[in-house]
Amino acid sequence: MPVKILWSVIFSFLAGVLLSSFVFLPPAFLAFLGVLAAVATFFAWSEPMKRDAFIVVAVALVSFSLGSMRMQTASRVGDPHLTAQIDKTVTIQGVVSEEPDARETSVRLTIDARSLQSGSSTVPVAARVIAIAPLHTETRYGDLVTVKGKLGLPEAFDTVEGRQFDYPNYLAKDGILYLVSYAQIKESRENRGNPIKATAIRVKRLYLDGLGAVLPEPEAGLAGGITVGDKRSVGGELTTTFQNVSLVHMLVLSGYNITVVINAISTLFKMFAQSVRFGIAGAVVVFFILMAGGAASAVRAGAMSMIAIFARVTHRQYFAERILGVVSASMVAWNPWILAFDPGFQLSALATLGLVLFTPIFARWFARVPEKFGMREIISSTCGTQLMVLPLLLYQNGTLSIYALPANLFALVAVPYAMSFRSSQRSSAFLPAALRCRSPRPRMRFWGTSS
Amino acid sequence: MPLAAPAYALLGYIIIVAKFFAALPFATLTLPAFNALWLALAYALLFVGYAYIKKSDGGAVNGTATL
Repeated sequence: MPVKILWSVIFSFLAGVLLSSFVFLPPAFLAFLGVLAAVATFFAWSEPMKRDAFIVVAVALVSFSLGSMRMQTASRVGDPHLTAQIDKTVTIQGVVSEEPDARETSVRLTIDARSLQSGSSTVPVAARVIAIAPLHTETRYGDLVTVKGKLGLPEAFDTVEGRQFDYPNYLAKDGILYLVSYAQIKESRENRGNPIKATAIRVKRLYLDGLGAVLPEPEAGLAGGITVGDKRSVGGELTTTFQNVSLVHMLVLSGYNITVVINAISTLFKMFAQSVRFGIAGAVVVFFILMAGGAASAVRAGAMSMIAIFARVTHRQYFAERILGVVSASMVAWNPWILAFDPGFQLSALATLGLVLFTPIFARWFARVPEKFGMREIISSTCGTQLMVLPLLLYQNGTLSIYALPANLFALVAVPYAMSFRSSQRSSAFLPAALRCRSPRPRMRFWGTSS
Repeated sequence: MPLAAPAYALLGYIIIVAKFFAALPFATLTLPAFNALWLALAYALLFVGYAYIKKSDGGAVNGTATL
């Protein structure tokens, strides 16, 4: 019974959020659902034979209403001062709130705008914007910057075969409502970032620099992608190649990476008490999530791993599908936009669900496949995850990877060995960057030219 | 660094595998856009199929793991 209620809460809440992401449900309708829940509760009390069913229905109705209300209260509202300046050149002061995203032709800076210069006066504003700056703009997370450029709104764009990518809502999930194109960036010396997040990003950069010193490209980029989920380090062409053969999951921070880290920490600190050991592992997992930029897929994997640690410490059973449901619903309750508008979260949650539900089934179907080199596990887990993510992938980008299974089979066989070598190499990867004679970082002190 | 050599070889192997399969004919097929209802139907079928298999196995299949 408690399990049925748990699933009733999770599914109904998610359904409420999902439906309200596209359709406005009026308060009167939600109140009506509340009345129906009260009626169901009454029948649960008066009909003992069908008590469980009525309770589940009542809980589902209330959870659906709560999900709908949560989505409606999370609506994104722009800043009126900024909205009045759309399509005009503006000067905004704000703080770089994420790690700068260096692309092939530009750098994208996520900026929490604090003030808007309008003529000789300064107006306080509160909005998150993306500034598209020239390629070699040198800014760090937390820098206080002044941005000058043309303010606009993000627009949906066509992808393939008649599909359209909902870019405005994709950005809105992170609270980003404006774009500043052709941005010229002027830094101050101030840094107002979270010191822990800044340290995580600095450690990641140091690690990636170290990998670059001991490995050539693209191997160094792939190592960075697999270990810290830095997909950009692989480059656009190789990322497309990995997407075409359904190997791109190797380049994002997943539960697998985090499990490797937890096991390495457990081995390293095995002389300490279990609670201390797993406490350190938990802290490292949080640090890893920060290094991955707090992406929803990394948060999901990290949260599930943390609960697994807790289960291990307290000698409790770990029901993966229930934990996935609770973690996913909690993340959606925190930010309901990710359910409908974050492909990373959707694919990550579905792939994990496929792993949990269908891998044991495929493992039995492929009982004749030898277990040597983990072949049966790789085939079963690839089939399980691919089966679950395939409908969504086809809907989103229409790409069907024909050779996903053999590509995964041949590539994933090498991953455990590559991970173990990189784990031992991880500490040494920091050395070249740490010991390297560093020249002062070039910083822009003038209005750069847009490209 | 000596430790980097095996990692380099294994990472290079993964890249070769990815490039090899991506270069094969018909590595990817692109489907035209379709209605979201088909997506909902596909997932409904998946969950019904899972429930059927689980029922026919007498609940032997589940995602329970003890760590």
